[in-house]
Amino acid sequence: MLAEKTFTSDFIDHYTHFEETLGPRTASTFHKKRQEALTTLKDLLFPHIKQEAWKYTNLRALAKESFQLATPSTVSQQPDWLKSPEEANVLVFINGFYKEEWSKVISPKTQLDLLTWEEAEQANYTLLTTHAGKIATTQSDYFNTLNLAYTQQGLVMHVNKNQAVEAPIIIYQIIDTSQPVAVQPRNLVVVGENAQAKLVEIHQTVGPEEGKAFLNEVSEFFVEKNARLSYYKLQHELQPITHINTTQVLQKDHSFFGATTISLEGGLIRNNLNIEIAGEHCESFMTGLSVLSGKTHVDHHTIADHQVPHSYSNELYKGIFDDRSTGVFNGKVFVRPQAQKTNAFQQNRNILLTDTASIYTKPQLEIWADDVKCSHGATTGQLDEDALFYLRTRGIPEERAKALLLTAFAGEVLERIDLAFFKAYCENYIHTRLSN
Amino acid sequence: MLKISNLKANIDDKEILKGIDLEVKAGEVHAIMGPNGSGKSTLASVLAGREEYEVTDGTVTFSGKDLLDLAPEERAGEGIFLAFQYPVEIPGVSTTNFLKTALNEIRKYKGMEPLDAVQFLKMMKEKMKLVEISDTLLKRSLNEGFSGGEKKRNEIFQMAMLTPKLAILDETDSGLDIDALRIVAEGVNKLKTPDNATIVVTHYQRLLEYIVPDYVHVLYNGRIVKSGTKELALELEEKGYDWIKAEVVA
Repeated sequence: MLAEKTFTSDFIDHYTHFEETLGPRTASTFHKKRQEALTTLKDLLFPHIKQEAWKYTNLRALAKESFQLATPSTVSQQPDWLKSPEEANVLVFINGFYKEEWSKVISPKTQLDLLTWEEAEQANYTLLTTHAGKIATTQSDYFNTLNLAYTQQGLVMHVNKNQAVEAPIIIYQIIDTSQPVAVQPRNLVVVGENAQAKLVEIHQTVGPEEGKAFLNEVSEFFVEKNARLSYYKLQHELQPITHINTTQVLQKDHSFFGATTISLEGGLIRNNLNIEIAGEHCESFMTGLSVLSGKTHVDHHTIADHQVPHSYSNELYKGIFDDRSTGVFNGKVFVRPQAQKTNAFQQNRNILLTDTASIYTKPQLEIWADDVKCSHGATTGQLDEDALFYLRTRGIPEERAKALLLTAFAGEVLERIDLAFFKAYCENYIHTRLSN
Repeated sequence: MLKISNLKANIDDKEILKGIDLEVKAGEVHAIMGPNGSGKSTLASVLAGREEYEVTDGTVTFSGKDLLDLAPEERAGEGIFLAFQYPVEIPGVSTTNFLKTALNEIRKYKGMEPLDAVQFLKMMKEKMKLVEISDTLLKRSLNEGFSGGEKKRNEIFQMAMLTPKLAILDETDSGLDIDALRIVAEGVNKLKTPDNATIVVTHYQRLLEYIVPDYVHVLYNGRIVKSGTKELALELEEKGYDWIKAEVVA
């Protein structure tokens, strides 16, 4: 456990240095939350595979690394893939630092406040006091606590009541692996009553191929009464970095929240997606697709927590695993005693393309109410041989038939994406990848 | 066109085909009948190239080529078509897209230019009438949620689109009501030319009232034990398969 202890103490020991980089921000009210989190961190244990939540994701390699406080990247040329649609708000962060010249905000202030964390903190923006750290717990969660102590940059967004923001808000979180950096972004989003927004988060990397880095991100989303928030996350990190994130969502009455998580490349990825369904007649969708190769490891831990009656949640995660890649799916659905008339559905389906790829899947339903409709299912298998033979007897060569079947398998998730540019990006990439 | 000599095939080390001899010429319709478990479907699968079956002996030549040397897709390119007894449901692949891919792959195999979308749709419209298949069905995922009759009609529709030299219909009549059976059979008859041939695998004689065979073969215990003309099918219908079994034993 020595490496794990050192990992934590490194962050504690370097805290003064981190505070220096914050400058006047140490005087903000939010900074008190950082300092409290640092105190909490001292008592928390680094996650271990003996803990149920980390059984299949071993962080030993991470613990052995030492990372440095993120410094701005020297990358000056805008990467080709950083092409956003014209009608979009774009915020680019590299190593957690805001890249203003590559960013743009087009939606009017009457619709929403869109700030960087730094701006919000300097302005002592109300939400940082009232909402930050409120739902992403630090009590027992090591990485949430570490993130709060080290919150550096990110997005703070408030969509005003009754406003439907048509232009999506796109965040690029880019990691430059030239240095072994630890980057800890934090996002806070409040979608006001009867308001609507689409939020996209794209994770990419630049820098040396074998470069190491550690990304630990926390997002808190508050979806107020009658509000809608669609969230699309793309994980496309070419360098094998360690990427841990928690998205914590709170839904009020008649609200809609949809999360789409597309994982294509990376080193070790852990996604925690937790929805507190605290409102009646809510709709919550969680959709995921992992198309993995090499040694990429992607761990999805999700929670749909039905706390009140009459809400609906629907979860579909699919995975295609090639080479030595591994997947973990742990989907929890809680239906609390008072949450009668809940409809909750969950599915996890996987295709393993090699003998060395693996998936650990654990759907978990905990139902205390008696008048509910819930179902879950998980399947894992190879490509359907009968389907393959059928296609081949119609003249379609084996490789093309395989690509056709895999594309169709992925298609069930992709066709649910209702944001054209995001869908096109994912489809193009996945079609090309599956055809080779 | 097709010449099968002493064909033997195993599945999981169990011998199913025990020496089949059969010759099919262009323009002919052959019916292969037999009791359950006699090897009818195995024969159809082996001809289409299913890899679970291991061919242990014998030869199959098709248009002068060694068929057993070819992958399933190459056999399709050469002009073999198997209408499945149980067509596979493939979610997420629309029938139209699938057929366009298949047709153009076969054309590529034959060294022909691919059809463009307009040509393809025109051809599809013509062939749809043959089996009275609807547009909406073809836009749906391949066979997914299709009724038994719809699946079989879709098989014959694919056959119409791919214009094979040799069509093998594996129990296409099973589970069909009389109207669907008539539609399917009429489709097959309309596709008949002096240059192509059909093998109809069936348990019952009824299909053969609609698709009239030139030859009828009885497969029993992995061998063709009797061959004749369409009258043989009537005799089987009347007497069942027991007398054949008795003859074989004797």
